[in-house]
Amino acid sequence: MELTGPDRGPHTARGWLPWAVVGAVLLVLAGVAVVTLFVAGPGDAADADSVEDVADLAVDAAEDLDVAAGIDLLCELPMDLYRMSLETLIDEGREEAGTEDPDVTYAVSDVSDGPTGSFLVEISSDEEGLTDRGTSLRVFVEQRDGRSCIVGVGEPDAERPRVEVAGDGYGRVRSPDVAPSGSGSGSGSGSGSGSGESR
Amino acid sequence: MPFKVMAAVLLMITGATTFLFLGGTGIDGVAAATFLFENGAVLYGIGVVWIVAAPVPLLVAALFAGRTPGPWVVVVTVHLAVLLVLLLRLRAYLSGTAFLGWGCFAVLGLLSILAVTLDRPRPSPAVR
Repeated sequence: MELTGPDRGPHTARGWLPWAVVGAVLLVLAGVAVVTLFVAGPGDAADADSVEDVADLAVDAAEDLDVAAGIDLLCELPMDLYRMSLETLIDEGREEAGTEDPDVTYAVSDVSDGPTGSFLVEISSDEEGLTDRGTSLRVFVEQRDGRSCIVGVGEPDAERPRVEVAGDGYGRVRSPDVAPSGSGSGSGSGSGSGSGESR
Repeated sequence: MPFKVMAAVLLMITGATTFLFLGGTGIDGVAAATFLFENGAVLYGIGVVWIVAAPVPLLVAALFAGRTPGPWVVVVTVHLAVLLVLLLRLRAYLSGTAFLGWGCFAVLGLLSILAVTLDRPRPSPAVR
């Protein structure tokens, strides 16, 4: 009786196939890493090095309702509380406007110079149901790990965030500041101010 | 280290990760994934869904590894790739420990692929 099945010695296809499979997996992972870093990565948010950069990117993300781009701008990953707050805000806006993509204007002003500071965002809409929902808030920016990112938000005249975007619980929600009018941490230069309308 | 031991360790690590995403850290993984999909953050959404569900395909692939190594190779590759995408995308928020953890997991995953393909069932020899 003679066996004619595949030879299974170390120098045959049987011997190198497992290593070829591992090599192929490594190639796939390397390709995934390259695509993620250069195509699907956080993009401009990773390179933001000033409050003005963050303000511009934040407006773009808000106009597009681009949650992923918004997440990329935060200094820490938001915990569930913030996701739910954001979800509620978006759903309410859509419901009251009666459209999936309400026309909202974000006007940015009072942008601090440099990598750390704050900017003011005035949110308004001409959509029926949203005309009286306009609001203003101050967004606080810090520099961490070589990039500028959002640490929290507060009242327009606040000097520090009332709510910090954090991944570790409720501890960083503060009572409102009683700050003198116009004492925002922004330089008041107005540089980089801009506004945009959503699609 | 035999394949079964490596597969068991990988399954335990993946199961622990799923537990964390399903409430162990106060994060509602299902609600988070739904929200991410509904608002266009598809990349993050897929990542969360896969991390939550990964133990199931891994377990099924491990059970069938005795018959064919293909499913195990594919599922481990997808799992490593999804974790890598999330790590790289969220690298600004993560410490080096997260990448070290992924590296150890990847080494174990690759060794398990090597083991399962070395042990794969051999075709019945033709008898003349």
